[in-house]
Amino acid sequence: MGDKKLEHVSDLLSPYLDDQVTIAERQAVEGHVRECPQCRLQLDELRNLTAALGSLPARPAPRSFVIGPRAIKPAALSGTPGGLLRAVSSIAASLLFVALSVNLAVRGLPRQAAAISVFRSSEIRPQAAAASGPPLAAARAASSGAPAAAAQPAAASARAVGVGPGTNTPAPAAPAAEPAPPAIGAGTGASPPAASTGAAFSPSIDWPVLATELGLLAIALVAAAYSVRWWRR
Amino acid sequence: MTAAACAGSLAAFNQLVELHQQGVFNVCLRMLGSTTAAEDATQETFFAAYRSVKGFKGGSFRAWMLRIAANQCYDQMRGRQRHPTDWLDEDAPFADPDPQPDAVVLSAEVVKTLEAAILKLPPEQRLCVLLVDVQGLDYDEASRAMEVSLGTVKSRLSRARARLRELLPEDLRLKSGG
Repeated sequence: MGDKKLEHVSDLLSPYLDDQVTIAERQAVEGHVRECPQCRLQLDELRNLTAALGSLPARPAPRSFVIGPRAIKPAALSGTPGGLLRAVSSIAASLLFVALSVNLAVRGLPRQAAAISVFRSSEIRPQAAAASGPPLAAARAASSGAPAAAAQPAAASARAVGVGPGTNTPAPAAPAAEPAPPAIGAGTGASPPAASTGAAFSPSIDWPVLATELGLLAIALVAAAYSVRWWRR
Repeated sequence: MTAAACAGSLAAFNQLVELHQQGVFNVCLRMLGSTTAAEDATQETFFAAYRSVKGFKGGSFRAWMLRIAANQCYDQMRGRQRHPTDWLDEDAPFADPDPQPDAVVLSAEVVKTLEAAILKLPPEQRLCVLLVDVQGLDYDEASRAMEVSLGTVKSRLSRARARLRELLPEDLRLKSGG
């Protein structure tokens, strides 16, 4: 009984010291400590403790923490690293999306383009060569390292083994047919699909390299943003 | 002064810094137990306060500032993952080289014993004792600074004082206050 009473009052001693008890609780504490030497001792010790804590000497600040004008800008920036990182991440994501799209387009379409080229080079090439094609075709063939004359027999042999517009062109047939598209697009007056294919994949742009460069640029941007954030901290 | 600081005046804000820097530093020091860590936390507190002072919605500015300081201290504790008493042993942060004689009421031994005992409290209880008993905030200010209810302040403080009483050597319990 005595222990239970002591425990109950013990819970009230701290708020009693801070005058955070009700009138009834106050009367209960004051009535109890008059009779209980243990609670009275505990109350005295708590009173001394709080007085001692309130008398702890303050340590002087080792320096002034006043904020200088120069410190504001880095502080403001460091306060919004999320904004910087969000912006850079958005740009990087866009670049990666473009790189992926280009990569898919380049990997997916050349087969069709090559197949079309093989078909056309074998079908149209003879007339085109007779009209206005030879100089440009020869130049292209020279730049690709194969003689212009060699392209036609190779294409013809490819058709002979069944390569056509509706089939996936085997890898060896594509290089042989490469010189054809510029010749068609350049001035043969060939059909519209042939012209559009030639325009979409201009030989002056190396699409896989461009896609790789965009991807690397995105990675570099993210790395730079995180470096700046780390450096500012 | 507070209104001018909230309006973006750096000069007004720095006046508030000068007014509160000692209190903030002392809370950080006794929360973290390291002068270096307390210095970092104090500086970060004022940077963070300056960035968000426009959002101050009135009330006790000291409680608002100490709430930021408490959060900085918790961040430091999480980041370092070290027990504060280890820092106490390594850095000896309580050897004050320049005490203020007129402010000293307790003996150096009692001060050191009390501060070491405070560092042994759980962080939430430690903060509660520092805010109410050492810094002299009332329960309402402490509840704002700790972002808890008045009842939580009352119970945390009660447990913290009981624990401190246990931690103090018996011969210091009665004479510690004078």
